[in-house]
Amino acid sequence: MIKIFRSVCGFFIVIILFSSITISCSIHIIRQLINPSQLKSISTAGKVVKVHMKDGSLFVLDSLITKESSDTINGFGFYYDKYRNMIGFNVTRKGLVNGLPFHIGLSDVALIELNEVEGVKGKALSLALVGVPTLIITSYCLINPKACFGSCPTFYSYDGTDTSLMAEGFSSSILRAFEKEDIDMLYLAKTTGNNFHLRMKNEALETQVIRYADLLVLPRSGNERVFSTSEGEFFKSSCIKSPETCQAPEGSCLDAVLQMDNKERFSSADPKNLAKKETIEMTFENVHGSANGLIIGCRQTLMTTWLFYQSLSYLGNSAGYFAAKVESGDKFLQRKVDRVWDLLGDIEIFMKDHKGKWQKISQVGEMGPIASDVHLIKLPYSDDKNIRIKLQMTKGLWRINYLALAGLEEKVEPITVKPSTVIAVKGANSHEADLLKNPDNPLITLPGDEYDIYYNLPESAENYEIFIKTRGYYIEWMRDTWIAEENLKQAAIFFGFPRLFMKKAAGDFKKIEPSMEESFWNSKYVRKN
Amino acid sequence: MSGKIKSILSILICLIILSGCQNKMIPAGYLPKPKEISRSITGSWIKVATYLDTLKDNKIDLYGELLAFQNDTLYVLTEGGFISLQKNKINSVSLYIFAPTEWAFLGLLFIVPNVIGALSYSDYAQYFLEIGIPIFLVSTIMGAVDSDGANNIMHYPGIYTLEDFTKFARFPQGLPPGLERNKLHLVITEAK
Repeated sequence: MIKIFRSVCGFFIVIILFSSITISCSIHIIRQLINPSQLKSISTAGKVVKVHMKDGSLFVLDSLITKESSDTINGFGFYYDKYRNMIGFNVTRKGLVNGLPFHIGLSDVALIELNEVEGVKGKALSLALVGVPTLIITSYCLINPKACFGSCPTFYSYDGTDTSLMAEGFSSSILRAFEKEDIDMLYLAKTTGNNFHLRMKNEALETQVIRYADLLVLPRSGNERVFSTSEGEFFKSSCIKSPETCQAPEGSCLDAVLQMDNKERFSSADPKNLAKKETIEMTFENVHGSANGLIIGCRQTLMTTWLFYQSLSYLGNSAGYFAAKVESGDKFLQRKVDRVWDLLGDIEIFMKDHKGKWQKISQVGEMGPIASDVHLIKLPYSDDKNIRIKLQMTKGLWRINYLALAGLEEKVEPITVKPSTVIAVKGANSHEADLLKNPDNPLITLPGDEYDIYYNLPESAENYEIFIKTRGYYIEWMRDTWIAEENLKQAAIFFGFPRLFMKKAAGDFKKIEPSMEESFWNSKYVRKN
Repeated sequence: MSGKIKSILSILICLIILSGCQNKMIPAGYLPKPKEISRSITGSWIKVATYLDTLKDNKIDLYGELLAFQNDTLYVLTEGGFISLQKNKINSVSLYIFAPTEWAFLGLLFIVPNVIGALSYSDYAQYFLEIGIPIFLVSTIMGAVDSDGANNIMHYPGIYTLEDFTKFARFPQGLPPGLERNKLHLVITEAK
């Protein structure tokens, strides 16, 4: 799981922007002194007017009434003598009129004074624009530190315009016992020449053990894309079709799933049961060819992160013992852990057959709330021109970024490319020459470590579809605040009766759910390098 | 909590305390907030460095309310009474027009929750402090601009002449006729 903080670049842009506003908005007092003869040509509406008399006395007037033909002015306010003793007033301190207006002969007036203040609003706005979000995020993190600071190795690469987050590795491998290989499509990655660069970061309070981080590259041309199934098969496709309709419980979600962009379809968790399911139905019309696959781009919400941290909190000081038991091969405990995640489940894919019945095709799901993964699910051969698909998943657990139908053209085999050079940008392993080259000698990273990984792509093609294949696991660092929440009874319910726990915990989760995602990303260093 | 985090926290706590306790040398009422300046009934507070007739080489600083500037003479009401100063006896003048807004203090108030978070959750101390960095920098820059860029203080000699100070005097029109100097007094109001 991850955790980190605000983008350094974004951070400095904010500082420069608001500093500029600040400097250009310095407070100015504009004081005008006007001869009485000019009074009728200027507007005093809404302004406090000071009338300096020739004898040194002073009227401070909240309102001033002037008449074109008159040689007197009338007003309401306060009257002071030259020694600044108050000698009259016709309004209260609260501005309520309580007497007749002052009649002031223009011939006795020396000067009229008007004041205007500029720049206060600009500065206050600047401070509020930075201060209020800071206050909101901090307040949220004070209430829910576990939701705010939390979670796996992250991979950044060039997307054509900038360096951005592309993938997260083995999010479900929370102990060595759960270590597994993970293949993620770098959907937005762009190659330049035959060199490819990734930056790998440990952005969480965890120790990450990475055995390898190889590329799987597949030559492609034109508008071809290559997608992979969860079984590790790769298929080329140049015919990618968006759904005609996409219906979720809240209404059409078509706009959110048309592109692999920032728009995502997601829902909030059920208020009474975190494991409650929901469905999305979509249709593809005028489908050509009989070999098709469904493409799903998705990531998890922070529900699993929260549940994972909650379980560690409940275990408290026993977390180490629990982890050691699992690591030592205690299958009973391993199954307990698996049961929790199985209850939440993957995204199940159903397809309507020619009899009108929904048939389950497959299921996909990869843990991790940071980067969307792109999955290909092979659909049964069908000559139907219209294909209807249904996704069933836990409510509030998944953020669907992209849905499409791909005509499967050719099965292709990837070329495995191992890192040519690994450089420690921040980390203690800079002296080692064989980083990420020997799985038996894994790279171990600590919070804050960063590594630049360079690959030499084969020269046989100009353009490649790139996937990253990682293997490893990570160990979450226990926080004092988690230990303070130790509650073995709750831990027993969590692992022993997960179905009951999902109902009991729904209320607590719902309290923080609305702001969890925003707070998480605002507190994260997703750096654009 | 690391020593570095402890040091940062100590500095922040000191800054919050100290910035709220800045001693003001100008009497309450003579340094209005910008929004209050249109209701001020006095001249602005002035500091004059002047040469004494008796001690040509010695300078003395006078503080008081600017009453008027006319005929190359500056009239100041000090706590000791009415003083007139010829322009050629004046070395330098600072005129305090309004109280600078304490942006740095306001900014530090915004990060009080961050300090509380860092103290309460030592595991996340670094993160709580990092969240507070933008507001800390912005308010510090604001404070620095206000205290240095300083539209609230006019200085002579420099870009201002003594004539420019006239409009901030109690009597911008000049001393009124029949002014009994012994009746003049500083208008000290209670601090808000």
